[in-house]
Amino acid sequence: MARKDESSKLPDSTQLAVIGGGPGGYAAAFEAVKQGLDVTLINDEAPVGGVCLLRGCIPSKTLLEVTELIHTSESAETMGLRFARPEIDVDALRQWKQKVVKTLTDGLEGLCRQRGVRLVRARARFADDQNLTVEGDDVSGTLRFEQAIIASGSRPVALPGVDFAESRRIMDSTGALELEEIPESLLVIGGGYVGLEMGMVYQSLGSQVTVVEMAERLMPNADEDLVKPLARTLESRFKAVHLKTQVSGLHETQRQVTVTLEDENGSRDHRFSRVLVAVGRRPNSEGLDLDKAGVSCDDAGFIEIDAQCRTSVSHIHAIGDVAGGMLLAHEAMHQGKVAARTAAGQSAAFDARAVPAVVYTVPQLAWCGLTEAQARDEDREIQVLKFPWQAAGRALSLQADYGLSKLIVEPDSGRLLGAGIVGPQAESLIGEAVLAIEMGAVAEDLALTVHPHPTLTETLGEAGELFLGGSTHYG
Amino acid sequence: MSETFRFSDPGEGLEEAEVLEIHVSEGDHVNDGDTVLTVETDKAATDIPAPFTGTVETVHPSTGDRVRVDDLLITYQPDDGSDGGEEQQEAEPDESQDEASREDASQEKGKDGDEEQEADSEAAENDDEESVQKESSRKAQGARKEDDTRGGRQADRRQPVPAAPSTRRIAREKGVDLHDVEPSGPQGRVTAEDVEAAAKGEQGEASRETASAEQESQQQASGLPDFSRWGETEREAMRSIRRATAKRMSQSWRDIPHVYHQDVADITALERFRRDYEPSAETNGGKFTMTVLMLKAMVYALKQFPRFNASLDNENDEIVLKRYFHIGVAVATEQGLLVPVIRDVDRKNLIDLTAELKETTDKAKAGELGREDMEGGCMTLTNPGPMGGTSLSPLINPPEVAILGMGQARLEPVVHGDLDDYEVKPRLMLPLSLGFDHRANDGADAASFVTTLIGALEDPHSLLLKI
Repeated sequence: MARKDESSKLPDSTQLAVIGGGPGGYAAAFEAVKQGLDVTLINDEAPVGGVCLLRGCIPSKTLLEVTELIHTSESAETMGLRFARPEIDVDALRQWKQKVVKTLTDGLEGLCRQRGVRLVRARARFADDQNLTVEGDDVSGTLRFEQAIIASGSRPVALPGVDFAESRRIMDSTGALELEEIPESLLVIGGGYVGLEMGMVYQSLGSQVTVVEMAERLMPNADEDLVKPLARTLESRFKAVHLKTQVSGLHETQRQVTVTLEDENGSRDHRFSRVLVAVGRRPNSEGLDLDKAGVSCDDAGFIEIDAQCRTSVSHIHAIGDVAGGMLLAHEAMHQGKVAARTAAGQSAAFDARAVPAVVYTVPQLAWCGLTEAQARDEDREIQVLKFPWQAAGRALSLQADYGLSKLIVEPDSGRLLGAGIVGPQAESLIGEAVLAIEMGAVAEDLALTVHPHPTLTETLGEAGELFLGGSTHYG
Repeated sequence: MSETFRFSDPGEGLEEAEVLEIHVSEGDHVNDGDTVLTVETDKAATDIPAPFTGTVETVHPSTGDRVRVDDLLITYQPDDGSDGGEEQQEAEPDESQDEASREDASQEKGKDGDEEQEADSEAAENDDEESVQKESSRKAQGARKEDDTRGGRQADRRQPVPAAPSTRRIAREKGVDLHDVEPSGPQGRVTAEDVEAAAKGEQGEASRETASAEQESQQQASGLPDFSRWGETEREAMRSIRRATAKRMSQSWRDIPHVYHQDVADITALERFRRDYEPSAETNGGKFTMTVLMLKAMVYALKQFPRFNASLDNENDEIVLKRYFHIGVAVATEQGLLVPVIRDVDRKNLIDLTAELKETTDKAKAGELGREDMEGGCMTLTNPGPMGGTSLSPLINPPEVAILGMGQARLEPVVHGDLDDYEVKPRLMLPLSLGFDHRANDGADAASFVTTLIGALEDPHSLLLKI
């Protein structure tokens, strides 16, 4: 099956063309090969991996690990362990991050070869609904496809008048991850997860960080009780958190950026060494000439898909960020498999009931399924089971008594609809809740499942017990 | 504007039937009540009359197909050109019936109800799609709220059914809507087994009463070894009669405590009588066989021992005693075993019975028996004797409580007299085997029954008096 030698050549035609080599694209390509299709993966940059590997999940989590280490070493003093302030070698840190990324992208390329995915380095545009115009340094021409999967991803939204490529001091998340320097002061525009994660990284490395958010609280799409411990940490570590505040002016000079912040009390100018704009992402749908293929998008430019990830043109699929949704890598990967199986004539559908979201700040936030806010919006009756971590021995040993595990359940049956966690290891703890929701578990199932003691996983079991009228350690 | 005619339950609780014959074809004009199909339901051939007058457009099943209740039989053009709208909506999903896609399924549902329901199921579909695209627009959420105010059942359909992802995958592949599956898990969780059962049910499941029996046989089937390891095999579908026999006999074997009482009857004199009167007995046609005589003898014995002419009512702890004498006669046909019932054997003479038995047997062999021809038997007679056999253990045909089996009559040396003074004579000896339900009768009853029967058979003159 492997085509090691001709991997970069452009064939005349392919059974399945996958546009974009991010997690969605490569997961789709691998699954399609497994299903016996001839697959051409067209990726417009040298390393495969997309935003996730190159300038998203992986590099940011590599840096956040350092942040967590710094925080832990600071709080160790309470436990009778005093460290000196760490010396930060930014170049070495940057290299370490690059090394992690390179190991993964190299590995991915190896997997493509090994599995027999034809990898083409080029940009692709639709010539019509059966042909792609492919342009790259080494290859160009027309590729005829039987089916296609669009996995072109998304990119950060800029502010009016800001050009990230031109600007030195105004960055998007990509620029921030480059870690060119540790600025003395940093303004983060946007109190969502990208802004808070990167703000935390820079703060831990020594920058004075200010956050500005238009909404009345940080992380507006997460439940407030989960955000509260994080907000408290940020208020103490950041120089300032401005809520209900807009940026009405950005002026970049050689040495700094002057930013006009406007709230209900009027506007004031502030000066920062650098500015990170993290106000959202937009789909990479333009530039693909989708209209020539007849693929339609919504008003925001996201490609519209059905449960089989088919676009308005049924043999052309779209997955991941470009198709909207939660804009998360794991969602894209699962959609990629659905699209590949559909393309191979299998019966498949993306019918996940709980797509988890994880924010890798310190403390971490994770949630999945229904949130309290959604239930309110939908006028849906729910019962919320909250287990505060003060009652969990392991949490105390971790200095994480501020943590919280909560389950959102159906009032009659206790059926799990959603879950939220704030505290260390939330990224891993949420997995159990996701599985429980997918399996149709009820609170009692979690309660009757034996969780190891002492661990943070017990907090989910005890939250389940609350449905039965009080847990061992709480309520 | 086409209309449709669907299969409906032809008898008590029957859910499926096999199409034996199709009497109409495309373009035929049919009057209300004309027979359009003949189907076989639980061993009986049933004519299906048209409930309409009009011209046949499409006949959907083919001969040999199994049809289930609600399956499409015929699309037709009614004579009285009725008004448009409604019918058109009906016709569309019908055409795409075979595709059985989920979209069709939801259209079907809409069709059964009024337009509002149809709109609702569409809304439900939209919601599914939106749950995929998590960042659904505010507009859609508004629509959701509207839905909530409507009927509870519709709201239920829109909620996801609790089931594991792997179960959902199986349901998707088998085209089963999880909302239609009877859940066996706690708090309404649907298991993979539930989906498998629902999928099987759609293909053809028998009535609820025998569901457990079916489950058992399914378990057996799934536990089969790979026979090809030992040599070549071939698979044959269990057609309707075979399946019905399998079901009924498993039930009989499982539920009835069978006991057998065997004896041998000297029918030398009876056989002479039979030969002597063969031509007269066959005045009205038929064949004057030992079976005909046995029917009469059975009635004689049944009159003496009414608890063999009975059924058990377990629910009320009662025995139903019958005041009529209908005898089932087992007939081997090419399609399988059938048991038509000869009514009122006590009131018919040998000439009539001779003719009727032949008629009935012929009808069975031609597959022309109706359901009612096989109902209402008091006791069954089975006579594999002509093919051989000295001892047999036939299974009782429920809800009867007894069955009589005849072996092969053979000329045998029989000793008459006592130890010191005897003679050996050639006599025609007929082995008899009475299978009885020990819940209704005991061994002594059975011995008396058989002895009485033999007494009647051995003395044709007295039999004449008795019948």
